[in-house]
Amino acid sequence: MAEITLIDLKQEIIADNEQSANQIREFLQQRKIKLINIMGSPGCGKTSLLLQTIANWPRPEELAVIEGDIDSLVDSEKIQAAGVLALQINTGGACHLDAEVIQKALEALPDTALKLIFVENIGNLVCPAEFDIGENLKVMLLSVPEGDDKILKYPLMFTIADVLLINKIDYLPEQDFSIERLRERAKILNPNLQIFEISSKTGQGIAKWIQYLEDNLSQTRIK
Amino acid sequence: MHELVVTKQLLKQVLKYAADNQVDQVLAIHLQIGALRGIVDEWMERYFAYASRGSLAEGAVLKIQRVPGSVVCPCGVITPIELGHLDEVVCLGCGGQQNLRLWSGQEFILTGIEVWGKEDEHGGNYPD
Repeated sequence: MAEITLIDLKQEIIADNEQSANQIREFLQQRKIKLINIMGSPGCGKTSLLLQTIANWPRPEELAVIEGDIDSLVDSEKIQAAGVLALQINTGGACHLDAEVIQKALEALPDTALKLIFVENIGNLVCPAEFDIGENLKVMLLSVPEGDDKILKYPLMFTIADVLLINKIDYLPEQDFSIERLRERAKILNPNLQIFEISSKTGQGIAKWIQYLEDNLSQTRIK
Repeated sequence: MHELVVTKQLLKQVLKYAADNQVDQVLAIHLQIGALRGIVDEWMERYFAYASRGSLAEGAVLKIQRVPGSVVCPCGVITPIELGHLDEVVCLGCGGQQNLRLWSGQEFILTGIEVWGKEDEHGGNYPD
Protein backbone atom coordinates (compact mmCIF):
# COMPACT_ATOMS: atom_id res chain seq x y z
CA MET A 1 0.00 0.00 0.00
CA ALA A 2 1.23 3.45 -0.81
CA GLU A 3 0.99 6.24 1.68
CA ILE A 4 0.86 9.95 1.63
CA THR A 5 4.21 11.25 2.80
CA LEU A 6 5.24 14.77 3.68
CA ILE A 7 8.71 15.66 2.46
CA ASP A 8 10.02 18.47 4.65
CA LEU A 9 11.88 21.17 2.77
CA LYS A 10 13.15 24.63 3.41
CA GLN A 11 13.88 26.14 0.06
CA GLU A 12 13.70 29.71 -1.19
CA ILE A 13 11.26 29.69 -4.08
CA ILE A 14 13.28 31.91 -6.40
CA ALA A 15 16.50 29.93 -5.96
CA ASP A 16 17.52 29.99 -9.67
CA ASN A 17 17.53 33.75 -9.58
CA GLU A 18 19.69 33.76 -6.45
CA GLN A 19 22.24 31.56 -8.17
CA SER A 20 22.52 33.90 -11.17
CA ALA A 21 22.68 36.89 -8.83
CA ASN A 22 25.62 35.34 -6.97
CA GLN A 23 27.43 34.74 -10.26
CA ILE A 24 26.88 38.40 -11.16
CA ARG A 25 28.35 39.50 -7.81
CA GLU A 26 31.46 37.42 -8.52
CA PHE A 27 31.79 38.85 -12.03
CA LEU A 28 31.47 42.41 -10.73
CA GLN A 29 34.01 41.86 -8.00
CA GLN A 30 36.55 40.48 -10.46
CA ARG A 31 36.07 43.41 -12.82
CA LYS A 32 35.87 45.97 -9.97
CA ILE A 33 32.55 47.26 -11.23
CA LYS A 34 29.62 48.42 -9.12
CA LEU A 35 26.08 47.66 -10.25
CA ILE A 36 23.29 49.96 -9.14
CA ASN A 37 19.66 48.95 -9.46
CA ILE A 38 17.32 51.93 -9.95
CA MET A 39 13.69 51.13 -9.17
CA GLY A 40 10.50 53.17 -9.04
CA SER A 41 7.07 53.73 -10.58
CA PRO A 42 6.52 54.73 -14.20
CA GLY A 43 7.10 58.47 -14.40
CA CYS A 44 8.94 58.87 -11.09
CA GLY A 45 11.99 60.13 -12.98
CA LYS A 46 14.38 57.20 -13.31
CA THR A 47 15.67 58.20 -16.76
CA SER A 48 15.91 61.88 -15.78
CA LEU A 49 17.90 60.92 -12.69
CA LEU A 50 20.30 58.94 -14.86
CA LEU A 51 20.67 61.85 -17.29
CA GLN A 52 21.41 64.23 -14.39
CA THR A 53 23.88 61.75 -12.90
CA ILE A 54 25.63 61.38 -16.26
CA ALA A 55 25.75 65.16 -16.76
CA ASN A 56 27.38 65.61 -13.34
CA TRP A 57 29.73 62.65 -13.39
CA PRO A 58 33.31 63.81 -13.99
CA ARG A 59 34.35 60.71 -15.95
CA PRO A 60 31.47 59.59 -18.21
CA GLU A 61 33.60 56.83 -19.77
CA GLU A 62 33.22 54.97 -16.46
CA LEU A 63 29.44 54.71 -16.84
CA ALA A 64 27.05 52.39 -18.63
CA VAL A 65 23.31 51.94 -18.37
CA ILE A 66 21.22 48.81 -18.81
CA GLU A 67 17.71 49.93 -19.70
CA GLY A 68 14.83 47.66 -18.88
CA ASP A 69 11.50 48.36 -20.53
CA ILE A 70 8.54 46.36 -21.62
CA ASP A 71 9.03 47.75 -25.13
CA SER A 72 10.72 50.53 -27.14
CA LEU A 73 14.18 52.07 -27.31
CA VAL A 74 13.31 55.60 -26.20
CA ASP A 75 15.18 55.47 -22.89
CA SER A 76 18.40 53.97 -24.22
CA GLU A 77 18.38 56.50 -27.07
CA LYS A 78 18.27 59.32 -24.51
CA ILE A 79 21.17 57.81 -22.56
CA GLN A 80 23.23 57.30 -25.71
CA ALA A 81 22.53 60.88 -26.79
CA ALA A 82 24.06 61.91 -23.44
CA GLY A 83 27.26 60.14 -24.47
CA VAL A 84 27.07 57.02 -22.33
CA LEU A 85 26.92 53.40 -23.38
CA ALA A 86 23.37 52.06 -23.12
CA LEU A 87 22.02 48.57 -23.55
CA GLN A 88 18.30 48.06 -23.96
CA ILE A 89 16.49 45.02 -22.60
CA ASN A 90 12.89 44.70 -23.73
CA THR A 91 11.05 42.24 -21.54
CA GLY A 92 8.08 41.94 -23.88
CA GLY A 93 5.59 42.21 -21.05
CA ALA A 94 7.46 40.93 -18.01
CA CYS A 95 7.08 43.25 -15.04
CA HIS A 96 10.65 43.11 -13.70
CA LEU A 97 14.24 42.32 -14.66
CA ASP A 98 15.74 39.17 -13.20
CA ALA A 99 19.33 38.13 -12.65
CA GLU A 100 19.43 35.97 -15.75
CA VAL A 101 18.73 38.81 -18.19
CA ILE A 102 21.18 41.09 -16.36
CA GLN A 103 23.83 38.40 -16.63
CA LYS A 104 23.37 38.28 -20.40
CA ALA A 105 23.48 42.08 -20.64
CA LEU A 106 26.71 42.25 -18.60
CA GLU A 107 28.33 39.70 -20.88
CA ALA A 108 27.41 41.85 -23.88
CA LEU A 109 29.11 44.96 -22.46
CA PRO A 110 32.57 45.73 -23.82
CA ASP A 111 35.58 45.12 -21.59
CA THR A 112 36.48 48.77 -21.10
CA ALA A 113 37.08 51.19 -18.22
CA LEU A 114 33.58 50.75 -16.82
CA LYS A 115 33.28 51.35 -13.08
CA LEU A 116 29.62 52.02 -12.53
CA ILE A 117 26.73 50.33 -14.30
CA PHE A 118 23.19 51.50 -13.66
CA VAL A 119 20.22 49.27 -14.27
CA GLU A 120 17.01 51.14 -14.92
CA ASN A 121 14.46 48.58 -13.84
CA ILE A 122 10.90 48.30 -15.17
CA GLY A 123 8.63 51.04 -13.82
CA ASN A 124 6.86 49.18 -11.05
CA LEU A 125 6.95 49.29 -7.23
CA VAL A 126 6.04 45.64 -6.72
CA CYS A 127 7.92 43.08 -8.77
CA PRO A 128 11.47 44.49 -9.05
CA ALA A 129 11.62 44.42 -5.23
CA GLU A 130 11.39 40.64 -5.25
CA PHE A 131 14.25 39.90 -7.63
CA ASP A 132 17.88 40.19 -6.61
CA ILE A 133 19.91 41.06 -9.73
CA GLY A 134 23.30 40.81 -8.03
CA GLU A 135 23.51 44.57 -7.56
CA ASN A 136 25.76 46.37 -5.07
CA LEU A 137 23.18 48.99 -4.30
CA LYS A 138 19.39 49.06 -4.52
CA VAL A 139 18.12 52.56 -5.12
CA MET A 140 14.45 53.41 -4.94
CA LEU A 141 13.07 56.55 -6.49
CA LEU A 142 9.82 58.04 -5.19
CA SER A 143 8.49 61.27 -6.65
CA VAL A 144 6.56 63.82 -4.62
CA PRO A 145 3.38 63.67 -6.77
CA GLU A 146 3.08 59.94 -5.96
CA GLY A 147 2.38 60.75 -2.30
CA ASP A 148 4.04 59.99 1.04
CA ASP A 149 1.74 57.02 1.68
CA LYS A 150 3.27 54.77 -1.01
CA ILE A 151 5.27 53.06 1.72
CA LEU A 152 2.03 51.73 3.20
CA LYS A 153 1.01 50.20 -0.11
CA TYR A 154 4.37 48.91 -1.35
CA PRO A 155 6.28 48.07 1.83
CA LEU A 156 8.65 45.49 0.34
CA MET A 157 10.30 48.01 -1.99
CA PHE A 158 11.02 50.37 0.92
CA THR A 159 12.29 47.46 3.01
CA ILE A 160 14.86 46.13 0.55
CA ALA A 161 16.20 49.50 -0.71
CA ASP A 162 19.58 50.81 0.46
CA VAL A 163 18.87 54.33 -0.78
CA LEU A 164 15.64 56.25 -1.20
CA LEU A 165 15.75 59.25 -3.50
CA ILE A 166 12.76 61.53 -3.03
CA ASN A 167 12.52 63.13 -6.45
CA LYS A 168 10.63 66.16 -7.79
CA ILE A 169 10.99 68.09 -4.54
CA ASP A 170 10.30 71.21 -6.62
CA TYR A 171 6.66 70.05 -6.41
CA LEU A 172 6.62 70.09 -2.58
CA PRO A 173 4.92 73.49 -2.20
CA GLU A 174 2.00 72.29 -4.35
CA GLN A 175 1.56 68.87 -2.75
CA ASP A 176 0.37 67.51 0.55
CA PHE A 177 3.54 65.46 0.95
CA SER A 178 5.28 65.20 4.31
CA ILE A 179 8.91 64.17 4.08
CA GLU A 180 8.97 63.82 7.86
CA ARG A 181 6.04 61.40 7.84
CA LEU A 182 7.71 59.35 5.10
CA ARG A 183 11.00 59.27 7.02
CA GLU A 184 9.23 58.06 10.18
CA ARG A 185 7.44 55.30 8.35
CA ALA A 186 10.57 54.26 6.47
CA LYS A 187 12.61 54.13 9.70
CA ILE A 188 10.40 51.34 11.00
CA LEU A 189 10.66 49.11 7.94
CA ASN A 190 14.26 49.96 7.17
CA PRO A 191 16.29 51.86 9.80
CA ASN A 192 19.43 51.87 7.61
CA LEU A 193 17.75 53.47 4.59
CA GLN A 194 19.75 56.44 3.25
CA ILE A 195 17.37 59.18 2.16
CA PHE A 196 18.20 62.02 -0.24
CA GLU A 197 15.89 64.77 -1.43
CA ILE A 198 16.44 65.70 -5.05
CA SER A 199 14.98 67.30 -8.12
CA SER A 200 16.33 65.95 -11.38
CA LYS A 201 14.68 68.89 -13.12
CA THR A 202 16.23 71.75 -11.13
CA GLY A 203 19.35 69.81 -10.11
CA GLN A 204 18.65 70.41 -6.41
CA GLY A 205 20.27 67.78 -4.19
CA ILE A 206 22.02 66.07 -7.11
CA ALA A 207 25.49 67.08 -5.87
CA LYS A 208 24.94 65.14 -2.62
CA TRP A 209 23.82 62.07 -4.55
CA ILE A 210 26.88 62.26 -6.81
CA GLN A 211 29.11 62.70 -3.75
CA TYR A 212 27.51 59.66 -2.12
CA LEU A 213 28.21 57.56 -5.23
CA GLU A 214 31.80 58.85 -5.47
CA ASP A 215 32.45 58.15 -1.76
CA ASN A 216 31.09 54.66 -2.02
CA LEU A 217 32.97 53.96 -5.22
CA SER A 218 36.35 55.16 -3.92
CA GLN A 219 36.04 53.58 -0.50
CA THR A 220 34.42 50.45 -1.92
CA ARG A 221 31.90 50.81 0.83
CA ILE A 222 29.06 49.69 -1.37
CA LYS A 223 28.47 46.05 -0.48
CA MET B 1 1.88 40.72 -10.19
CA HIS B 2 4.56 38.30 -11.28
CA GLU B 3 2.85 35.25 -9.85
CA LEU B 4 3.33 33.36 -13.12
CA VAL B 5 7.13 33.68 -12.95
CA VAL B 6 7.39 32.56 -9.34
CA THR B 7 4.81 29.83 -9.86
CA LYS B 8 6.92 28.37 -12.67
CA GLN B 9 10.00 28.50 -10.43
CA LEU B 10 8.04 26.82 -7.67
CA LEU B 11 6.81 24.09 -10.00
CA LYS B 12 10.37 23.47 -11.19
CA GLN B 13 11.58 22.95 -7.63
CA VAL B 14 8.64 20.78 -6.68
CA LEU B 15 9.17 18.53 -9.72
CA LYS B 16 12.87 18.28 -8.90
CA TYR B 17 12.10 17.05 -5.39
CA ALA B 18 9.44 14.74 -6.74
CA ALA B 19 11.94 13.20 -9.17
CA ASP B 20 14.69 12.96 -6.53
CA ASN B 21 12.32 11.08 -4.24
CA GLN B 22 10.77 8.99 -7.00
CA VAL B 23 7.23 9.93 -6.13
CA ASP B 24 4.23 9.15 -8.30
CA GLN B 25 2.12 12.18 -7.57
CA VAL B 26 2.43 15.46 -5.70
CA LEU B 27 -0.74 16.05 -3.70
CA ALA B 28 -0.04 19.27 -1.86
CA ILE B 29 2.62 21.95 -1.63
CA HIS B 30 3.31 23.80 1.59
CA LEU B 31 4.44 27.40 1.28
CA GLN B 32 5.25 30.21 3.65
CA ILE B 33 4.69 33.66 2.17
CA GLY B 34 5.32 36.84 4.15
CA ALA B 35 2.73 39.61 4.38
CA LEU B 36 5.13 42.02 2.66
CA ARG B 37 5.30 39.96 -0.52
CA GLY B 38 3.06 41.18 -3.32
CA ILE B 39 1.73 37.73 -4.07
CA VAL B 40 -1.97 37.05 -4.49
CA ASP B 41 -2.86 33.49 -3.46
CA GLU B 42 -5.65 33.16 -5.96
CA TRP B 43 -3.41 34.04 -8.90
CA MET B 44 -0.75 31.63 -7.74
CA GLU B 45 -3.35 28.89 -7.54
CA ARG B 46 -4.70 29.62 -11.01
CA TYR B 47 -1.24 29.80 -12.58
CA PHE B 48 -0.17 26.67 -10.78
CA ALA B 49 -3.17 24.75 -12.09
CA TYR B 50 -2.25 25.94 -15.59
CA ALA B 51 1.51 25.40 -15.42
CA SER B 52 1.35 21.98 -13.77
CA ARG B 53 -0.94 20.36 -16.35
CA GLY B 54 0.43 17.00 -17.46
CA SER B 55 3.10 16.93 -14.73
CA LEU B 56 3.39 14.91 -11.51
CA ALA B 57 2.11 17.95 -9.67
CA GLU B 58 -1.09 18.37 -11.68
CA GLY B 59 -3.98 18.96 -9.32
CA ALA B 60 -1.76 19.56 -6.29
CA VAL B 61 -3.19 21.91 -3.69
CA LEU B 62 -1.19 24.96 -2.60
CA LYS B 63 -1.30 25.21 1.18
CA ILE B 64 -0.16 28.76 1.78
CA GLN B 65 0.72 29.87 5.27
CA ARG B 66 0.81 33.65 5.45
CA VAL B 67 3.50 34.96 7.76
CA PRO B 68 2.47 38.23 9.39
CA GLY B 69 4.89 41.15 9.48
CA SER B 70 6.67 41.92 12.75
CA VAL B 71 9.53 43.99 14.08
CA VAL B 72 12.07 43.20 16.76
CA CYS B 73 13.20 45.78 19.30
CA PRO B 74 16.75 46.03 20.71
CA CYS B 75 15.12 44.94 24.03
CA GLY B 76 14.43 41.58 22.35
CA VAL B 77 10.64 41.71 22.16
CA ILE B 78 8.90 40.98 18.84
CA THR B 79 5.90 43.16 17.96
CA PRO B 80 3.45 42.45 15.11
CA ILE B 81 2.99 45.26 12.57
CA GLU B 82 0.09 46.21 10.39
CA LEU B 83 1.09 47.62 7.05
CA GLY B 84 -1.45 50.42 7.10
CA HIS B 85 -0.27 51.62 10.51
CA LEU B 86 3.48 51.76 10.29
CA ASP B 87 3.74 55.12 12.02
CA GLU B 88 2.05 53.80 15.15
CA VAL B 89 4.40 50.91 15.89
CA VAL B 90 5.46 50.74 19.52
CA CYS B 91 7.43 47.89 21.07
CA LEU B 92 5.12 45.72 23.17
CA GLY B 93 7.96 45.07 25.62
CA CYS B 94 9.49 48.45 26.43
CA GLY B 95 7.34 50.97 24.56
CA GLY B 96 10.34 52.00 22.46
CA GLN B 97 10.02 53.29 18.88
CA GLN B 98 13.69 53.52 17.97
CA ASN B 99 15.82 51.00 16.08
CA LEU B 100 13.01 48.53 15.49
CA ARG B 101 14.15 46.05 12.89
CA LEU B 102 11.99 44.02 10.54
CA TRP B 103 11.70 40.48 11.89
CA SER B 104 9.21 38.70 9.65
CA GLY B 105 7.06 39.32 6.60
CA GLN B 106 9.52 38.77 3.73
CA GLU B 107 9.38 34.96 3.65
CA PHE B 108 8.94 33.13 0.38
CA ILE B 109 9.73 29.54 1.19
CA LEU B 110 8.78 26.09 -0.01
CA THR B 111 8.46 24.23 3.29
CA GLY B 112 7.29 20.82 2.13
CA ILE B 113 5.43 18.68 -0.35
CA GLU B 114 2.86 15.98 0.33
CA VAL B 115 3.42 13.12 -2.05
CA TRP B 116 1.92 9.81 -3.01
CA GLY B 117 4.06 6.76 -3.57
CA LYS B 118 7.32 7.74 -1.91
CA GLU B 119 9.54 4.75 -1.36
CA ASP B 120 9.82 4.10 2.40
CA GLU B 121 12.90 2.71 4.15
CA HIS B 122 11.74 -0.89 3.55
CA GLY B 123 11.50 -0.23 -0.18
CA GLY B 124 8.74 -0.99 -2.62
CA ASN B 125 6.07 1.09 -0.97
CA TYR B 126 4.28 1.76 -4.23
CA PRO B 127 0.64 1.47 -5.27
CA ASP B 128 -0.18 -1.46 -7.53
